[in-house]
Amino acid sequence: MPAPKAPYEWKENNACTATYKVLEGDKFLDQFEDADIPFSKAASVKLKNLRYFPKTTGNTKIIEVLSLEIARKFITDIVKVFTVSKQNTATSSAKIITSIAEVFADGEKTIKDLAEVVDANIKFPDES
Amino acid sequence: MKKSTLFFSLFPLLVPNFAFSVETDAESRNSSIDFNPIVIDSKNGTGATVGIEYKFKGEFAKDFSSKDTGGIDPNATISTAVIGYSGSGTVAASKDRNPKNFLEFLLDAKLRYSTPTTGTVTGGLFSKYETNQSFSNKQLVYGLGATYGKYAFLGSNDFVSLDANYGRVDPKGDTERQAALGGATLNSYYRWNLEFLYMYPLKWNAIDTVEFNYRYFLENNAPTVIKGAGIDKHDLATLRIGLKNDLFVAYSTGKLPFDRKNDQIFQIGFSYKLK
Repeated sequence: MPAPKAPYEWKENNACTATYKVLEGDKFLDQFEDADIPFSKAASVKLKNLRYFPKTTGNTKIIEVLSLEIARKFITDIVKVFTVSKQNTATSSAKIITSIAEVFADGEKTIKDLAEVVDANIKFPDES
Repeated sequence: MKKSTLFFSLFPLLVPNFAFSVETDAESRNSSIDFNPIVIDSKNGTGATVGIEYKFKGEFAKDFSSKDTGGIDPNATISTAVIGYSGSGTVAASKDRNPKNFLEFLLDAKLRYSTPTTGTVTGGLFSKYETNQSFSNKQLVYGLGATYGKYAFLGSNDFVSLDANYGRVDPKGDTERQAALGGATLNSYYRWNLEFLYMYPLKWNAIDTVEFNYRYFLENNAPTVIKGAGIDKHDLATLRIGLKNDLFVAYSTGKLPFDRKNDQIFQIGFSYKLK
């Protein structure tokens, strides 16, 4: 029986800092202010509390489309800041965008959950 | 302690929660099933019974996107055909004591297409079936729809979306419609519905975000009495101003149709959270 997977740790590695930086940065997704949510407190913040998540509708089809759009912008911004590659070279870029979109679509997921999927799909310089 | 009380108390311990999910091949993914033992109070004086609450979901996806083998390309085109399903319900030991839905099943088949320049569009067919455990109260709705969305539409982080659907509506329990029709039978009918959403992160003084949502419903070939009663069309507009620290002011005007009442997030008129 395989050992249970250890919970993902929110720490100052490239995956977590990139996730935070791209979500927070004024020049990137600008989803919150660092004065309101510093890095040390970001892990448990639910995505439904960020600026992109709709507050006037629960229409899952709109949220699905929105999630694909913001996931693409998220990866575009990560690629601008970090020299990254795929964790699994057999995975297509489209699949990586879709995997990250699935997290953005679930408002109950946290910033740490997003960083975990980012880390699972994207290889950062500190993992080389 | 009565034997029945003891049994109901121990039942959740005797039948542990059971959940699993599977990751299968590239063509299907994200399947999951959950079971939860519960004690149901029928609320109609017929007593309690034991049961199992369940939910499941999954999707089969055929990916037509480009299979790039190099680095990560944020401009990759996404093109996928998806059949998604989800269900939930409650199975009780005694069907007469089960006030909940025995089955609520949703099935949709759609195409998903996304590029960095055009935005994202999904479209296809959907159906929903729900029934109680004795199958005496069933509903089936179905239709087709399409949804479009674009991030960074006018600004760098705004979003615009339009969702359009046409489908069958089951008016069971719609007292307003029944009153308009008099003694005539409540038959199912077809309806258009549109939803528009625009969100803008304004970040100006105390205002953080601005969000506008508009929903419009139009019955197809509505009977004259339904038109006369003014219930062939419904619309609801909501403007929400998001302030700092999760505070907001919202204004809603209009009305949703009977079967969509639960979709209303804000009360009509002003709503706010200011402290």
